[in-house]
Amino acid sequence: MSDTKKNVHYTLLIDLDKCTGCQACSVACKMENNVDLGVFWNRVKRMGPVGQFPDNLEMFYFPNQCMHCEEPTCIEVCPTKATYKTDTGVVLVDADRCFGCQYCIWACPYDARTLNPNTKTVEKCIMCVHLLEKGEKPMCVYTCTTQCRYAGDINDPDSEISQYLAKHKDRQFKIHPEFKNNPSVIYLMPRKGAETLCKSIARS
Amino acid sequence: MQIHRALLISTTCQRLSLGMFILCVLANQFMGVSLPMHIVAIVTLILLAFGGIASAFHLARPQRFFNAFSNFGSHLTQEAFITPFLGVALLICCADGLLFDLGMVGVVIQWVAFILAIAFLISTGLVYQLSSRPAWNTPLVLIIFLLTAAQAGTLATDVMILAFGQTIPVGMVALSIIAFVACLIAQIAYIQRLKSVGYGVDVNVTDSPYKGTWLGWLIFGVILVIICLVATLAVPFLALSLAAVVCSIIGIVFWTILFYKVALKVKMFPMYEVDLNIYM
Amino acid sequence: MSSVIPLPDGGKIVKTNCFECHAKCGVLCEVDKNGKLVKVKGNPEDPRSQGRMCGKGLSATRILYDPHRLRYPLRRVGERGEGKWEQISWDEAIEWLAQKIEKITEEHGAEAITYGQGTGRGTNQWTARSGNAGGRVHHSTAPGNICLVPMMVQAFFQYGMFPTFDGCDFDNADCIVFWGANSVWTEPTYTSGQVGRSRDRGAKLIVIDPYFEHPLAAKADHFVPVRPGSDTFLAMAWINIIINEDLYDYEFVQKYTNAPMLLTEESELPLNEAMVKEGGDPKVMLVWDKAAGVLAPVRSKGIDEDIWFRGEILGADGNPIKVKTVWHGFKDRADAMPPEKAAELCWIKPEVIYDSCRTYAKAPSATINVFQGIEEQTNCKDSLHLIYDIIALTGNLEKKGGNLSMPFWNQMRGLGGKPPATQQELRMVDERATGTLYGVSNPTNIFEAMRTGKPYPIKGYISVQGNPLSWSENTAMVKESLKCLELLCIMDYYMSPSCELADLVLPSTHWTERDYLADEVCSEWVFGQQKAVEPLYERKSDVWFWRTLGHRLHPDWWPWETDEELFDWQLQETKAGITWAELKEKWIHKVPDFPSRNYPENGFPTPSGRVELYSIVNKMMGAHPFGEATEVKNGPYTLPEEIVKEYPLIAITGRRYPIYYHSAYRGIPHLRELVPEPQVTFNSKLARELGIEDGEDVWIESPVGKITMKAKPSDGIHENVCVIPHGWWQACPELGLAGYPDGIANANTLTSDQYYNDEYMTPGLRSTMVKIYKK
Repeated sequence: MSDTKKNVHYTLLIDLDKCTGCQACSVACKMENNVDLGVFWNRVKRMGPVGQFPDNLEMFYFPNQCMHCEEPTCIEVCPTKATYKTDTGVVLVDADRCFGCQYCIWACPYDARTLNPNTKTVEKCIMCVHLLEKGEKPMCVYTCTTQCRYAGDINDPDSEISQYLAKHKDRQFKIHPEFKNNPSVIYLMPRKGAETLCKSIARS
Repeated sequence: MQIHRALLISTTCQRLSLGMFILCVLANQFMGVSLPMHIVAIVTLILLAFGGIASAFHLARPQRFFNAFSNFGSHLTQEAFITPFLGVALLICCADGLLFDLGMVGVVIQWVAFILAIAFLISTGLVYQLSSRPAWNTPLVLIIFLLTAAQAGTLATDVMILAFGQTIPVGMVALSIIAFVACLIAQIAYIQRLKSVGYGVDVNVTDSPYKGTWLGWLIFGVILVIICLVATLAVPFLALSLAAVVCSIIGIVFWTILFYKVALKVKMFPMYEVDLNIYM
Repeated sequence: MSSVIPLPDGGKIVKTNCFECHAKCGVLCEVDKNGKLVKVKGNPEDPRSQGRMCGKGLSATRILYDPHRLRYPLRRVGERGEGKWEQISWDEAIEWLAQKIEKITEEHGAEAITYGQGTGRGTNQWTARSGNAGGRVHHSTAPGNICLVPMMVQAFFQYGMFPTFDGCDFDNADCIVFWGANSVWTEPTYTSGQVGRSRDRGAKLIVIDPYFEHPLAAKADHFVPVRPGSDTFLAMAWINIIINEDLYDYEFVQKYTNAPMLLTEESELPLNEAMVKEGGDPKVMLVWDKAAGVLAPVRSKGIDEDIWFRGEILGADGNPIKVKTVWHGFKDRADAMPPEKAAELCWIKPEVIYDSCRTYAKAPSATINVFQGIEEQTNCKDSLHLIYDIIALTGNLEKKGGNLSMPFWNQMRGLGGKPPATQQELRMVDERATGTLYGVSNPTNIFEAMRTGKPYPIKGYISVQGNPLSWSENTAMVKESLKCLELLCIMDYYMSPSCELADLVLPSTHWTERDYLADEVCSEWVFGQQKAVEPLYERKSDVWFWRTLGHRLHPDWWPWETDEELFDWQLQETKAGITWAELKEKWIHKVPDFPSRNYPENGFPTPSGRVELYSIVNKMMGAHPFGEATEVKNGPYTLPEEIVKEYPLIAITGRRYPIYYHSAYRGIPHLRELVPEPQVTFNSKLARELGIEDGEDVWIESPVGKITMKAKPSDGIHENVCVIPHGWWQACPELGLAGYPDGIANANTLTSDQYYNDEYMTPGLRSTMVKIYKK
């Protein structure tokens, strides 16, 4: 493995200001990875509307998938070592090792893992590594109707994801970094419609 | 995340059987009772095996069981790793006095099994003590797991003592009461903590949908256990003592359901009163 | 580069376009060496979608191979609706259908047959051609009155072109307005990416919609939650502000609208040359040339038109005529609607009107996207008219970042052929709506004629891509009507509730298995939408069907022997400058701009050559020439008090899902998983008052009917408004979800067939008074 490859760290960036909850990414994921019914590797959820109609309302969409943590609890707890991390920072599950104890499902605070009722193994977002390795975008990123999703090497300052992050650094946040998993997926706060979230993050 | 029935059975069996074995060893060694340890070990093994089988059923692919020995950082691997040693030690304890007499070596092996049992309980308890699941992110998880084992263990030891026609020694009475009270205090502390965990787990156990489970625990695991325990101490009938164990076990099951229920949720955005909608 | 790219393993990539909505994103279809479609993804070469694609389109492989799809022509053998069918060949189907049509024509005349469709997506012209070819009347039993026709036709009247659909220049706008439109979900092709990019540039966003769950409402700089149907008041108040705060584009108004055109003071008739000059031309409208102090024809160039003229002119008969400019007529109306008054009628605060209006009017360029939130109201003509006035008033027409003409809309009209001479006389309308501006029949009159034979019988109905038991108001009556037909033929993907009642059900090809032109809603491009795989079973495209049936019945109207010939004719008629064979090879082709894009040179193709605030054609056809601040006919302020008391909620029917298209695809399991059940959204405070919990089954009842859905209390809706989705009929056996028979969850079971827009015959679907209660 070359040195350049060693420094590669693939991750996702999702701009919640742009997401319109169209579910194209959810469907793209299902199609690309042939994800079974009842299993979601990626799903867009919605916060709100919450508040007082019509002036004090908040609402935003939240695409929910594996956070590809730097120190993932799921890897720590997996007794079979089925869950592992590639040297490019992608957390994966080896379906040939997993025996479906579902310990990782408890250990994941992000609702990212599901036991596939057909294969009897635990599944989750694979960041479409098969595409990333070919230099292509994960399907959710490729198809995103709003261009709110970016994927790529966050260690490469010239990558699309790094460039986008550089432009919007002030809005970045991560979900529950206090759980010590150190999630690598980066979210950007909505510019509007998420005042409670913004206030809360600014405070902490 | 869901509640696994198999795990309810297996962890309850573990706590009862290993708690009993540990307390029986202690009672024999320090409290002047003389329980036949091969019988105790047989009961322990049967309960443990029952729990083990149940636990294997919660694996979606039990045929891959042997993959469990892969990650020594995982408490499940630790548990799996301890299992064969504990099993062998208990088997020897069963045989000792039945098939052969190991004398002092037998006692040493009892102590080995004693230590392995504690290690087993600790690793199982630690399985649940997860920093990434706020409801379980407290040392109380391990403490309560061990104390429930102690509670069921002391009561089951009382049964054993009575079953073999002996008198429950004062030390055992004291231990039974201490284990019960300590466990209750830890559980009350846990329930108190639940009120302000955050992340959508600010739970008042007297509210729906926890109320029924909480009441079940309160009635079986607290009130009935107290009644049976006091009765047993007053009138040392085997049946009363057995009832105390049964109530304690039912209490543990209710407690464990409650324990799972409160942990089902981790809100992604706890700063909001409401949770995420999944449908458009 | 060729549009079919061979793959090393013997497969291929086919460049084509998706057909799941009107906007037709460019797609790359991957087909394996056995001819099986294995994957679709967006084509980055499409300048609009740039490779992006929505959930519907991405599901192509599942929809193409869905085992529940129709496969063969089926002819009824049992009783109507009994579900007994025989499989027949296409030859037999076409011949049988043609003979049936001929028989009905012989017995009752061609007017006894109606042709229709559901969503056109490119077949509008062929459905019209089928009707026109009958030679008596084209009824058009299709939902044109609730979709596309009001906004397109009103734009033709005022602008001579149609700029508020794919003509919204989101990518360059400084202010983007979604007015009763959720295009980021329904047509993300040219919308979503562009809106996001523009907001990054700092473009402002205004969402005018009663529903805060509109995906952009929370992000909008101004969310304007109007009462459903009160858009005319808001629009008039905006005009009031724009004029009185001097925010209008004076040069555009003066030179390129008919604001300076003179009207008679009282009767507001255009002052024409014959009225002021002996032997003058009555077709020449006049303006007042301020510099020369004389009257001049409206089409004169290089004069200084006075928009403020009001006074007396000497008539040809020597008597003075009191006149005013269109501008005065326009401004007087606006002055009668101060924002404070509008705010009360719209259930919003005056500041919201002021702020949103100023943001729009002060933006260097701004674009307005309107859609069915406005169209499906009984005052749609007026709200559209006023919104089109706003676009012109601020000079945002044919301007970069504003609203642009797109050539296809004007060219589509010719493709359907000329309406028969007896069109006006034979079309069916009544006092509920005379349809002054839309020359076909009111579908509700057609359905009535099926039942009653009045004013004359309708015996046959042939429809493609249409499920009238979903799209038409008052479903129960439609069902009764369809049962009375002698001939019902429906072409569809699925055995829909309407198909179940048919005599002949025809299997339609999915977009991956049909050749066609993608031109409608394709902005300035036309695409070769070629098939990626051979049609499965015996499915045929809708265009093939219309052409083949037409060729059998009226070869003079349908001379084309093959689809390719028809495509070539269409490309020729629309002046695309390319043949089908070339287009198929090239995939994408830019078509010439519409002349009004250079309006300083070419003007606008209207009677006055200008944008018409006062629509001369509206006036000629018997409609109001000005946009008026009218109320809906079926709202809380117009219906009798006791009805409003009993049914206190205004229901918006027809909210959209990003993963379904109208009533299609509830049967595709991985889509259904995302939205498994229909939910009625209403205010959470009201839900608490009614004791209704989230997810509980509730009844929704209107004076017309009642349906059941899951309750979805929400903070994002006014306490007197609720939101009801449409299109729920299909089961999803894979998920164990049953269907919804007899319209039990069909929004149109609730909607009324009594209240229509006079001009466009639009039913008031988006202000249906209902009540909600526990089941």
